[in-house]
Amino acid sequence: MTVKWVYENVTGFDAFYSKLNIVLLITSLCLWKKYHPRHTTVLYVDKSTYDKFFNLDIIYLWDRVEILNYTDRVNREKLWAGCKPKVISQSKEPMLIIDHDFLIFKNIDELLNDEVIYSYDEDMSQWYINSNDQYNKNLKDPIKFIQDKAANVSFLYLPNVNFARDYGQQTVDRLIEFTAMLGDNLNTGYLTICEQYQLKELLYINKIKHRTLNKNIYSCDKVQFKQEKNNIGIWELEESFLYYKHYGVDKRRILDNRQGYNYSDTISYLYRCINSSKLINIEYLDNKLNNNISNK
Amino acid sequence: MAIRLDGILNTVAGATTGSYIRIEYVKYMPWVGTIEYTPMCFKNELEANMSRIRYFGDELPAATFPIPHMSMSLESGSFTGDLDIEYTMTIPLTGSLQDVNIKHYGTTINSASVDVTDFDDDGNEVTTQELMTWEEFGIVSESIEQKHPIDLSRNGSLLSQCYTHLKETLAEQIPAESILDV
Repeated sequence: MTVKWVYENVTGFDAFYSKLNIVLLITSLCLWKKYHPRHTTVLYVDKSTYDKFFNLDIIYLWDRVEILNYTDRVNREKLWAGCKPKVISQSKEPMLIIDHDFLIFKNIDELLNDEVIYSYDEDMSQWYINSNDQYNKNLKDPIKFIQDKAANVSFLYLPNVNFARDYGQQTVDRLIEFTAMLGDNLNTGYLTICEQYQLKELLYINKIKHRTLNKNIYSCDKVQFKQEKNNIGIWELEESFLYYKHYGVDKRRILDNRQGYNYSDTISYLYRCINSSKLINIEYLDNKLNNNISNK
Repeated sequence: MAIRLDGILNTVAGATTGSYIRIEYVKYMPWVGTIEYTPMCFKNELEANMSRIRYFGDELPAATFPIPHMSMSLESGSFTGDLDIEYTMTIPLTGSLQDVNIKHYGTTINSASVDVTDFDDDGNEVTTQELMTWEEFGIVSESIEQKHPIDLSRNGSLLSQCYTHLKETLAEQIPAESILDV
């Protein structure tokens, strides 16, 4: 199984890099390798990120590192996950694509069969544009809004190459169209609708079997899982807390040390996770990060 | 519709026996719970007429003659006294005092303890407890307080209600019989 991460400096500035996000990416990779040592891990980065990671001496952690060189007219600063669907659109084999803030604590090989799997269903809220959006109506092929859930793709397993390529390309095409229509007036509601809602809609329309890691549905409005469950989930909420963690919007809260979140404790926890993989020396890594990354 | 004060009204613009007080700019503000109006004083009806509100397309006046509401006094029969008129008068739209259930909204921090996977110093997997917190906006408490609800049941002309209020306010300072409708 090939497992992919995409990490692109969407601003082009060195200030983009933060210690928390890079440690999360390393943790995501290290835990994946700890529980899935036979998987092939691939990292997609832009040139400046490659140089940064080279200086951090972490390139070797992945089995392969590829440099992104896409020229699609997508406003990446606003549609920051723009390269991920591009990578998906060029799939040549079944693949898993993982966000840098997604951590696994269990071998899941037995789950990886012929069904699409993603993290969890989430309800639609202000994080998404809605069916009244005029710019969506102006798309060549507007999103139809025929159901009311979106697929959180912090973890996405795509066993069918043709479906993966279609989904990835449709997402890229729509991101290009939205960029042309809205320019700098874009917001992430257009990214989430293309990347996450569209996946759920495609699965629904094409009657493709799919599952979610969580049974419980995530409330974007309340920023927590609801009691409501779907009928395609694998794990109960209590199990999911043990088996994986998706930091998502918690990253901002950790950086701000908001009540219930602590930056130092989180970094220590992530270092313990990395240390458990025995892939890199923590003192060495911390020293490299402190010398090369100015943002916490 | 206007008011004239019987007697000699002394003002900074001189004394007059033909005083003319007109209400202009009535503002009905149920969302605030008030009606606001502006009484304007003139030395006589002619000057009041010359100073009337102009609308779009009207010929503009050469001058207007409102009297500043300062240092005014009235001599009416045996009565002599100062007169103070606010530039902006307010009629509260308050209903009778009643008990009201007040909901207090705010953000609460909720927490729950969940089992998560952690690692010891040797890299061995251990299960620990983590306090998961989340914020919720909603009703944090309720209380019963005595409030004057806004009374929206008024009938009739707001302007006439403002004149009635103005006459009642003036009658607190000068004899009511000195306040004449014109």
